[in-house]
Amino acid sequence: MNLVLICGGTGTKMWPESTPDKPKQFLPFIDGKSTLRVNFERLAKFVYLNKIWVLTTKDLAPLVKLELPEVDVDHYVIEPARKNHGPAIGLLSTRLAKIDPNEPFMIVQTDVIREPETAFREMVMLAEEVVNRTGKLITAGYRAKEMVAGVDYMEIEELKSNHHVTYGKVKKWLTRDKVVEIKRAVKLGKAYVHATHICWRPGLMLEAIKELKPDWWNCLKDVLEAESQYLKMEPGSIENEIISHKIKGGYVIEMPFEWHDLGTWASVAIYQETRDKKPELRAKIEIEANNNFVRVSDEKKPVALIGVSDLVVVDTPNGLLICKKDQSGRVGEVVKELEGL
Amino acid sequence: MKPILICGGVGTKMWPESRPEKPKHFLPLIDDKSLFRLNYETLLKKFKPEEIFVQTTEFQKGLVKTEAPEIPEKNIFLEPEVRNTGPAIGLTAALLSRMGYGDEPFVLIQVDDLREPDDRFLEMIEVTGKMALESDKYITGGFKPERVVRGVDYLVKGRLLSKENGIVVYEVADYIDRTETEKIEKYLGSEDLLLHTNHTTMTPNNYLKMYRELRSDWYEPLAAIVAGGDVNENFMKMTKGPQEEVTPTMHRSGRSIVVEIPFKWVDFGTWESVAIYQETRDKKPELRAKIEIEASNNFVRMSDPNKPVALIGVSDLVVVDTPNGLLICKKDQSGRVGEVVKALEA
Repeated sequence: MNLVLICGGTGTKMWPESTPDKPKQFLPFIDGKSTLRVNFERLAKFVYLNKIWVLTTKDLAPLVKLELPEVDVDHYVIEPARKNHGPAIGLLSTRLAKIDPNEPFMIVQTDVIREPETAFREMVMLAEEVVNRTGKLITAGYRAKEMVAGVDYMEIEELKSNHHVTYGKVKKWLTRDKVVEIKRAVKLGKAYVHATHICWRPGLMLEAIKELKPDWWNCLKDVLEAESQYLKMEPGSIENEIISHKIKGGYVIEMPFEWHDLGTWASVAIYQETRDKKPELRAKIEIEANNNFVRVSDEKKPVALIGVSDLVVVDTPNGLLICKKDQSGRVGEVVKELEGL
Repeated sequence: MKPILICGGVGTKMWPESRPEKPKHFLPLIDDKSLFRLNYETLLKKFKPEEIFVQTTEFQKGLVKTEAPEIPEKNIFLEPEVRNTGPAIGLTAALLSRMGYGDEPFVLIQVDDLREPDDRFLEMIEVTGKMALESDKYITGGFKPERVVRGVDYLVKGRLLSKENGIVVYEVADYIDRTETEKIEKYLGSEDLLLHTNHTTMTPNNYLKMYRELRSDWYEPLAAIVAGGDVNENFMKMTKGPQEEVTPTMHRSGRSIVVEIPFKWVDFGTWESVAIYQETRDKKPELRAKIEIEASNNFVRMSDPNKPVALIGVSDLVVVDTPNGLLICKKDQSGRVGEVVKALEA
């Protein structure tokens, strides 16, 4: 099984710390380490180094190489341009299939933290076992207690358990716009929110692309040409084009760990609160202020908060953000507005 | 008439912009001008620089000279040490007297306030200056407060003395110290209650005469200074104390006069007051990159004009960002900013 650390995106929601040159996966959120580095170190505890791969873009590759000097350069799959995950995973599959079309791979997102890390290991082992046994597409998710916007769902029909890890056979993929069906499945307790951990054989992935996205396939079929053909590929999401069609009859593993998606400042704040070791600022003065999350890049600069609560405050030379925690999902709008100025 | 610009304190409530090296009255608060400069410019409409005096400390002398380079050095009076307003104003009177201006009225102008329209202020001192020549009474200013404010002193109006050019002058019937809350409440809503805003106007010799009667321990060293004695040595003989150790006796014995100030007295004590003042003006300072999403009524000052600031889901905040510190404060609590400075010192 190959584990593929995927590192793309811009993370505009983490402005002003994240910038196009330094997306959120590279920011030192966890005891001074980036989430990319933390994910790599955790994988390296139970996977041989020659089973770890990196899927990233041309512009981010130099940063990844600085963070993960241990990964061999041959294990980098570099997208020549940003085309979303569809073409990227196609390119990855081509490269892996050349080595062994039957050895499964799993996509590991690096802007999230999975805890406890041992539970992630169990999930990886289960996914490998199920793919090897059934040849079916696997991904991960969690049971939806209520419908939330902005995510996709799967309806399951049969639950199984293996070493405390639960997984279900997928009956149907429910795109986020299928509100009625999602709500019905949620009510029945059969709806799972998709949390990408795509796991499959690269050969089967390529066959699925050949069947469903022949335009992509034409660019990918010759591994030697794939990179040069990449620029011709139409951008697209792997979920919409491939997973949504092929997950039926496949399996969704119920994530046996806490999934901390450090996608917004509020999520970083919540994550920090769950930890014993909290980063402390040299001079943070709070007067009738509480539950504020403060990050200041200049650690000598004092910060005073008076009469305010539930704020995210992030100060860097690139900008100052002051945001109610529950609205930190809107930070991306700031980046858009700044681009327009 | 000799106008005296007084500047001493730091104004810790304006942290992080105000610092001991840059007290609040030297901050570029309004159209990039400081309160000191704005008050000085008001005076320049009527006075020559050599007619304007400054009472300050050694520490702030350099800033005074930068902001008002035209004022001659001999007109800048330095308190050898901070001993509060009693000795400080006494020293100013003594030094004026020593320079030969003992019978020419002076007026104290605090530079952490603005007076608008400032022409009315100039008209007022025309009137009070004349009165100070004719009378040895203690003359000061006051205005009818819209609501009772804490932390200030009050005067109770007595007999109407004059009403020239719309400038109304009364005898003072009583003085109410800021600590006398019960008495303040008794007068609440009364037409007779005036909030005291110090615009002390007297001739230096009359001012010193007042000390001679009421604080001879302050008067003796000051008289020595008038006579040419050493300023530092004599100043240090005076014990610390506010001018209010003398003036209440004047107020309560029918020996003081209050002019109802014919202008708006804008006090810049807190960031909220700066925010309120900016809102009343047509010309609002705009930041290059200030982005507000579901945010309103926030007052933002960034020392780096190119640094973007984004406010999301917040309102009624004061945000002040400088390399020395970042303040995020609910406007109505900006009076507590001084506590930050204390906490940082600890």
